[in-house]
Amino acid sequence: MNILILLIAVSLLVALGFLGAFIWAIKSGQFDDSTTPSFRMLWDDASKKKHNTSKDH
Amino acid sequence: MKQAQNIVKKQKTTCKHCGELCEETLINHNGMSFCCQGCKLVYEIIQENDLGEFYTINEKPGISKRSKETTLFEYLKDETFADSQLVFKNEEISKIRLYLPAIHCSACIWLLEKLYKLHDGIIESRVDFSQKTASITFNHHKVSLYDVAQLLNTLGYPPVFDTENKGTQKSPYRKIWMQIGVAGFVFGNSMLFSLPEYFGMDIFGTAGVQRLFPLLNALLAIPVLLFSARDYFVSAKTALQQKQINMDVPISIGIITLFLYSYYIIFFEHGLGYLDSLSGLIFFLLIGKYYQQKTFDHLRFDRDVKSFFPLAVTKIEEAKEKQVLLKQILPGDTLRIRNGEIIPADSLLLSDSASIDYSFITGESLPEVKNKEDLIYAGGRLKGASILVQVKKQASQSYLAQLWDDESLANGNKTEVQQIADTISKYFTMVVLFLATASFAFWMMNGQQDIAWRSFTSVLIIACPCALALATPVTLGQAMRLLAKVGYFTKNSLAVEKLAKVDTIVFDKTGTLTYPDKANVSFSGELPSHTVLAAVKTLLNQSKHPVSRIVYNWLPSYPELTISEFKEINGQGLTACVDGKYRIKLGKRSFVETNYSPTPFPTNEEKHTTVYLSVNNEVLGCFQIEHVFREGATEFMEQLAHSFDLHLLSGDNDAERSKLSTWIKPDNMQFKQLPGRKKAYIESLRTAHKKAMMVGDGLNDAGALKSSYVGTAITESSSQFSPASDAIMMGKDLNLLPQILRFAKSSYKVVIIGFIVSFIYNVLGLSIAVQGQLSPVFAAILMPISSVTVVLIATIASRINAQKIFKNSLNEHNL
Repeated sequence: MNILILLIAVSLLVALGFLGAFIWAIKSGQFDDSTTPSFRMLWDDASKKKHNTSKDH
Repeated sequence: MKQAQNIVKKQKTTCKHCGELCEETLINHNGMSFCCQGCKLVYEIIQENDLGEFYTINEKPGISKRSKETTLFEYLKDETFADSQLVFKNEEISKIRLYLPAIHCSACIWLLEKLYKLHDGIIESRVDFSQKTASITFNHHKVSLYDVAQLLNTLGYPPVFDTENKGTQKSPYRKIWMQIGVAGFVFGNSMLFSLPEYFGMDIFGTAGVQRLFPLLNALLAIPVLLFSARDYFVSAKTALQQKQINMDVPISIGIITLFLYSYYIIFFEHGLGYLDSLSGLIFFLLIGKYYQQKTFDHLRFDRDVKSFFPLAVTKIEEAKEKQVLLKQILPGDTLRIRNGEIIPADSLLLSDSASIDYSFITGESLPEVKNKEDLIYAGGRLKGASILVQVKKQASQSYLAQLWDDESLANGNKTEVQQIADTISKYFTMVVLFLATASFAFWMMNGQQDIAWRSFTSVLIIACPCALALATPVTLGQAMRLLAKVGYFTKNSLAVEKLAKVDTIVFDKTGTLTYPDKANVSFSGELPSHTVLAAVKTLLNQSKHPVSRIVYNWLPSYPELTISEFKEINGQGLTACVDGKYRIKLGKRSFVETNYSPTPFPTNEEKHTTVYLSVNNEVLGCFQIEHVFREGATEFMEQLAHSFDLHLLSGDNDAERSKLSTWIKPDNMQFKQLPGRKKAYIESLRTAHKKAMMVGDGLNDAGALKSSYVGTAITESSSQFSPASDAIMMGKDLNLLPQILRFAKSSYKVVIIGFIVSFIYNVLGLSIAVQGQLSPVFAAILMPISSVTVVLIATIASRINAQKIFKNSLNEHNL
């Protein structure tokens, strides 16, 4: 019986963790643009080695 | 200008950069062909910087530089203004978000994100494709905002600046995503917690622990009520304050009753309550709402006059030229307007004469000639040498701006249109309240107080018009998306609903029914030899007059000849000596004929715009120019004439009257209409209780578009200016208009079917609720099922309708 209560608490906490992750993702703007990344991922960034001034790659 | 290039005869060659047909001139360079110098320049920049991959990403990646008006960014040199546009600035780094309407394909993203290679002052750039914006981070010690704008302009992506608001990066959907997330989370969990009870499972054996689940549900429901469902309460409250009932009123009543009653059951009766149904209900409602909210981010439906005017103008101050922001000019200021610039405010002409193209405002394709001290209205575009003007009224006070900002029409439109859902909800709420009270009274009289309360709350809960509220957003949201696939973009779902009720269509002519830039040219008389035509073409190349451009484009390609003694007399014609031996005159009959009479050339001056040609004082004939109707115009006008009342409002002359009269009643055709008159005509239709759709393209239709029941703006490309309207469509898709209207009507029928289905569910639920027999399981099953049915009906029926109606055109558009 007690183990069930523990499991319920854990399951709720895990679910809350996912909800938190989702909210964080929205707030950090990961859902703002859903079109451009789908294009971006298709390019080979061959010239990246030569020239890299962009910081967050 | 000595460059490795030669101009060859016309042939079907496409430009290496922009992929467009090289019609006018063809420039050969290292075995590649370009349609204009601009494209070649961009190609060279791209190659120099080792970005040749650009051309392999997509077909036709570049943007044609041909016929682009020069955009000036002088005002960006004004530091306070430039800084006001920035999102972020510190000692070294500036960040800006620029709206680049020319973004159109994946190669654009690729090139724009490589900006740092083109200028080492640019640190990073990120493109948002659906919003058509680029966020650029640059070092302002190395590169100024002005330089960035110039660089983008050279590449063919002129940024559009806005004085009012700089673009925010945050998506407007963030809030509803979070609301959906919270509701979904609670829905899932409390459904799980409720299951043991539904199936009568006694998994714990101990009564104390079993109480845990309802209590957890009660806890979880709080954020759903306070956060996820908040907007419904706010909207219901506003509606009630205005003494109106909208769909959110019965929804709010249902939600609150559900919540309070469940709390009562959980805490006083030790039952389960209906809280899982509550969160499920809100979850579905929010998804429907999101579906309806999501529109076309990159299109701007609410652009006003200001976005059409320049941001800055050249002011003459103490004999010096200075760039000032438009809003800073005052009556009495002297401004210099250059060729191609727009007159920003109603002003007095100080120079001797000016030729001003008012085509955007009046629709008239020929420029007007103004003389010294004439009043020039704002909105015209200067053609020819630069002029000085004295400002008479502030830009915001101009005739054009006032026409636009007419308050009465903004208000007038709202009361007239009420969404069908809101109309229904008024009666719906009354019926539900009546039923609830009646069943309450019935059980009270029978002395069963307990059942009386239960039936009262059950009726309010089960009648919560979830399915009813979903029918409209889902169907119309789906319709919006399907219409967008065939090139018809609506501002919101209300526009689709209004489209379904249209019974009258008012067309603009020039640029809407006819092509804005194409015209039929014919030559009356004997066409001169190629050597003479080459000379004529050279002369025409000197003039920016639209008629000159049309004739110029019509003539085949010839090598450029030497030209001397060029003169352009406004409103009259052109003259010059070409190749040293041809004295050519082009223009009005009176201008060309000195003492020559009568002309043997059969012309129809009523029907065509004519340009006479004389070489060495001998009149050879005349060019006749006739506007061309869009492809398929005959077919779609015929189809529309069957089921709609057609009208025509043109700012142009009545050259095409006879052709149009086959579809439009002569009484319904108005020519030479000023913008104000167009608007008045639309308003008269409205007082006659006609639901008129205005279809127009220019700024001259703006007033009419805004005051019409549904305004459809026609544009040639999504990046082009289009006036405020309910819908935007591409000129090339105009022939789909009959199908679009048919589809809107069928979507409306789907909404009604959705209503009927949800009513059936409601009646079923209510019949149980009035007896006070509603069990939590029943509510938990019935509510989602009714919602899902309505959503499925809406989606499937819309798709079938679209397939049926747009059969042929959908294949082209890749549905």
